[in-house]
Amino acid sequence: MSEESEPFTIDEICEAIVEAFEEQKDDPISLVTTIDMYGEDVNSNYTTDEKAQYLETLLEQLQKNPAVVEKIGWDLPRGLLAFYSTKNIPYFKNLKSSRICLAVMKSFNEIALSGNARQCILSCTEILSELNIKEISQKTKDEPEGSSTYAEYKEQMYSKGKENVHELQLAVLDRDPVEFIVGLEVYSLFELLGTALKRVNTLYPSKYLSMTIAAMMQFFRSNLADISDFNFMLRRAYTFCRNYIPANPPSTLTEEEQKMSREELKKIIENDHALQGKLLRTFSIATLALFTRMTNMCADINYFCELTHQKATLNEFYGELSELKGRYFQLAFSYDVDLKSEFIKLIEESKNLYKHLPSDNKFKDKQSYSNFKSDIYKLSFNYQLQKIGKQTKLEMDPYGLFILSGICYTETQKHLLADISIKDTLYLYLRFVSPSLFSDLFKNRAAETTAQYWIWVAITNSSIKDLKDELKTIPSYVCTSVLQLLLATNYKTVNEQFRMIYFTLITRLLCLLPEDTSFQFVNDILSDNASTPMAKSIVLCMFKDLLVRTWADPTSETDVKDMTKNVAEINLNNTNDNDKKVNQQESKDKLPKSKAYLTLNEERRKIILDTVLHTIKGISKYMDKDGYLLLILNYINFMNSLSNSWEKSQLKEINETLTEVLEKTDIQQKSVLDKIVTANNKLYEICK
Amino acid sequence: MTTSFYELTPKDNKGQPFPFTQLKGKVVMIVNVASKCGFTPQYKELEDLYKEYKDKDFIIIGFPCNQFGNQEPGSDTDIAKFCSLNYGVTFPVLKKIDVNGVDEDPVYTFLKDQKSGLLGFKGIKWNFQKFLISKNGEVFQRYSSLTKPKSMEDDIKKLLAESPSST
Repeated sequence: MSEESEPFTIDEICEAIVEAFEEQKDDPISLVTTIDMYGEDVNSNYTTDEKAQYLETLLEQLQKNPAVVEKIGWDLPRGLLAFYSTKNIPYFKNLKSSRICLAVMKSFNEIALSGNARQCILSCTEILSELNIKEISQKTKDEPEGSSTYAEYKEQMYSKGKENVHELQLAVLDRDPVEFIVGLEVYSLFELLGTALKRVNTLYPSKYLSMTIAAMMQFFRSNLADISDFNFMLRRAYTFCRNYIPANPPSTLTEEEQKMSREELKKIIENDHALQGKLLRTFSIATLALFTRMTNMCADINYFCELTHQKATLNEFYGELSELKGRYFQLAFSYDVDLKSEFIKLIEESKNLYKHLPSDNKFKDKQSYSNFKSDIYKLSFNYQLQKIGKQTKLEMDPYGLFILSGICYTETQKHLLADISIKDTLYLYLRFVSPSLFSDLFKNRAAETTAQYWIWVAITNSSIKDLKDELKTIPSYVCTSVLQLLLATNYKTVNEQFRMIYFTLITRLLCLLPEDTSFQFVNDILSDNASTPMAKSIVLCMFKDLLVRTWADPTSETDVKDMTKNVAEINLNNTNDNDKKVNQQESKDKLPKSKAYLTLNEERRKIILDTVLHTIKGISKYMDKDGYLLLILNYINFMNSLSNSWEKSQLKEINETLTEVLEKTDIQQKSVLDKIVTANNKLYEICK
Repeated sequence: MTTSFYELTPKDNKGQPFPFTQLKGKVVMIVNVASKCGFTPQYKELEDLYKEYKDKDFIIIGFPCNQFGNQEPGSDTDIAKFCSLNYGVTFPVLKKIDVNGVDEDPVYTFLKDQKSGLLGFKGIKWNFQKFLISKNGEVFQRYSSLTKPKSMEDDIKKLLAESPSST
């Protein structure tokens, strides 16, 4: 194959492969070298059809020579995987249409069935651990597409007329090429490993299973940021677990093993089976936690919709995820996971973590209180780190178990623990959500939304009196920390229905908490420079509702529901929203009659006034910040709609300050500016 | 918790009690079935076995279950119709139940406690797992979904050949 000589024809190469299998069958190193050399050359320099011809010839030889595959099989996967590329396989067509793809997959099958199982496991786990999606992505970008590109193929189909519309539709148009190639590689390796594990001849198959699982986890973790199709990985891991069949006891024993009694051997096999079981159980739960980390598991959404007789607006993605969730849920049961007792353990663990926190009155001054408050977020993070550091035995991922507790509801419409207390749910929430503030490793949307679901369960399964009484026993900084996290993790939600449900939960809690705690949360957000204007606008709207709505009957839930519905309807893009929600007349009518959820006393008025003025004065500095002007508008609308609650002098101060600032500032966003001016004029009229 | 197989009383597909006391002295095969599963064709071999040995004190009892891949979504009436039309099933197929989890049927709690499955797990792994119960109500063996009913024939014959103890 020197550069000067005439290149081999593909027929000559195929003949050489057949001959090599015949002549070098007793010399595996030479045979593998021959296959590798020809394979590399064919893959680089020959046409797609020629590559297919080469691979089919190789496959035929593998099928005819299982004894040879036993010797060389473990060395072939790397070379075969190289043929999985977009230059060889049109990613937009059905897999069956690619001869190359079929030949590689069938070759993998031959290796899995006849290759030396131990060697195959060793080599494939090595390949899997090294699999790098970034590299595959780069390689895919650098390579030209194969003989027919997606655009050409589409053109061909359309030019053939209507009869080919069906064929065109069959082409998977939305396949991502990189994802496609990664999918093929992962599929082939996982399947090969699964089959090899069934055949491994050892008294200790758990050793090979643990090696495999470690490689899979290594692949998942090191590529997490580059994996876009989490459902695919969930499916692959699930299939691996479900199809796992332990290897039979070895047909041949080592010298040492032969000395053992029958009973001793039986015990070893039993213990190893138990270990394999633990490995699979731990792996499946860890995988669930890993690949749901960006996803709402919808237990909270489903439960809220069930309570309010709504239909959840879930797209196709959630349909697929829902099926997978169900599969993992059932898998946990078939692995004897006692979900309820595991969940109770999580509750106890969380309680232990937070139960010794000092009560509010133990703090000497505001500073020490404030310092401690920031430490509370770190408690769970430190705990998780310590736990990981001290871990000496296989333990199920607490995040995975916690997520399963929510899936239990979506699968069975029953709560795993219906009488959970509000205190327990707030501790669970802090425990699972706060660590993400310190490391992305702990960021898990599924756990966040599961924790929200449990708060809903507690809120809806206790009387308002009991809830309020219990909330009074929790240090206020725990409650405000939960509220802040709830806001921070949810306020950017795009799905309007989901956002509405998340805000409703915050509002519900605000209604139930002691007034001082609720106000503290509101003030913390509004006065905090780190909070975004958008988050502030949301809290402002909640605050307004708390001030306007009233408790008709402290034991009735109706008012809370009405009020949260109002907050739920917040449309963040609608600048007129505040006017729509609560009009001035309404506030005037309602305030004097009965007690509002939150009252504005002089001290609170002063605090809010300062915050509003501070925000107005910041226009020139922050007006380019997303949502800042909208926040000003919301503040003015807030003052307008609650004008009865303020001294005229206070309203006048705001009006004049804003007028002055607007005169000095060149605001480009005319539409918002006009609305601010109109609102400010209205305020002027009120305080005249 | 139930301590004897014969204390169990699941429901038939019309919701009526199906007390297992009526099974005393019989060899019983219990199988969790599903209509849309890759293993569904096992119905044929199950029915063949049943026809072959039903007059020799052998009975098969099917429990439809929708816990594995949503492969038994229909009502009890739908299931009965499916079994009869497609596989001519004549052995009793009782009411749909859960075989794992918080709502699992006591029949399965009992069976799983008596005999663990693959890797020592008690949980049912998939549709068409089988349990064979002796004439004395003891769980003789548990078989995976992959075990073809026909291959259980020797075990069935062995159990049929035993005479029930006087207890």
